[in-house]
Amino acid sequence: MNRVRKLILNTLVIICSLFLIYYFGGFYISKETCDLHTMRSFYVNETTYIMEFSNNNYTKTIYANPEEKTMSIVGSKRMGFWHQTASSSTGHKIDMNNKLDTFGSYSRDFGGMITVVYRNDSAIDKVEVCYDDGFCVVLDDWKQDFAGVFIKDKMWQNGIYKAYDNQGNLIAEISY
Amino acid sequence: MKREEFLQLITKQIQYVFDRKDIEEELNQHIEDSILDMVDDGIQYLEAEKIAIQQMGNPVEIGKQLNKEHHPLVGYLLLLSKIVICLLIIPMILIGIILVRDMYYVFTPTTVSGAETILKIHEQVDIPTHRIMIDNLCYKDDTYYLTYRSLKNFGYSRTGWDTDSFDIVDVTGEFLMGSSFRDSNLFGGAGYAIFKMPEDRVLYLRFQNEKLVVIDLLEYGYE
Repeated sequence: MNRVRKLILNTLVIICSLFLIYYFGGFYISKETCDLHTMRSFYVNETTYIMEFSNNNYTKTIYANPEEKTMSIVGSKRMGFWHQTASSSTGHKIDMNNKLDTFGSYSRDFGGMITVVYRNDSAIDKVEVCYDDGFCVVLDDWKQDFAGVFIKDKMWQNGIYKAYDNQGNLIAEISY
Repeated sequence: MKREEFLQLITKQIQYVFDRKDIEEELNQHIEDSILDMVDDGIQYLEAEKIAIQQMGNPVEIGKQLNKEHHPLVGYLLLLSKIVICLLIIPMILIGIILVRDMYYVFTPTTVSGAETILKIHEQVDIPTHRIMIDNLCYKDDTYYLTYRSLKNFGYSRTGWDTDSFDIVDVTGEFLMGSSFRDSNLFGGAGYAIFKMPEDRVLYLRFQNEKLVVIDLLEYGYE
């Protein structure tokens, strides 16, 4: 076989091999597609982007499905040009019976914990979270009724969540 | 001109350096064959060598012609492609092993190690995203296991992990499922669910999309 034909054959072998590695290795060019496939793995399809938190090459993105009253915390990591699913992902049903619901995520590779709250009452202006170790944080940056925080280097902690209106009146309180 | 000098002048024109040795050996063999033919005709070896070299022609022109035929760009690209293929061998072998293993787990019915298979159910359920295959009812140490496999629709998700797709409830909707074990793979997953056997021997499998599948174990021969 002459060299040009050998070169064409080798090139085809390389392209097929790289495609198999890309396909079965779970590499994605788009972070959105990576997140969608991650959510599909736990049967979540239609969602709206809410917010994201990044640390080093890892990202945790919050998605919600307002009609089904569900939310997802989706982890991904970036490796140069590629994105891969990573850092644990979860799906949750939002408790519509309470004025406030809360969700959390911690993973070591992400390097900290995330706390997300959902307000089922538009009167809620801010939520104060005090964790069991005494650390407290205020969440008041609302995106589609979700607010969240990433606390770097913090392992998962339970806490008390207090929701206040803009007059400072306590509206709801939960433990999580 | 001496043979070595003649050959070096030719191969110096070959820009793809990895071909030079092969070309030199081939030309040397050609010269040697010509010499032997002349020696058979009675010409002295050294004289024959001189004639053979002269008959070949201008070494620079020969070298340039050979350089066109052994194009350096094709040569270097071919070498690079061989190196890349060598580097890809190990990941391809690993992918091959994983693919074969995952295909085995998804395409052969699941069993529970050490447990007795008391019923072969072989019920297939299609939900929008997966095909679930309910395999066997197994029993071990006073515990019932329902084994199953799930096959993702092609292209649905490439993340390589999967989760439970159904609960087991009784006719009143009471949750019967205990713990479960699941091994996710490229094609879906395989595992088992531990459950409490209901009195009427009827299992209701409630799927993620609210689909309900009824498995009457009595119809399958369970007593």
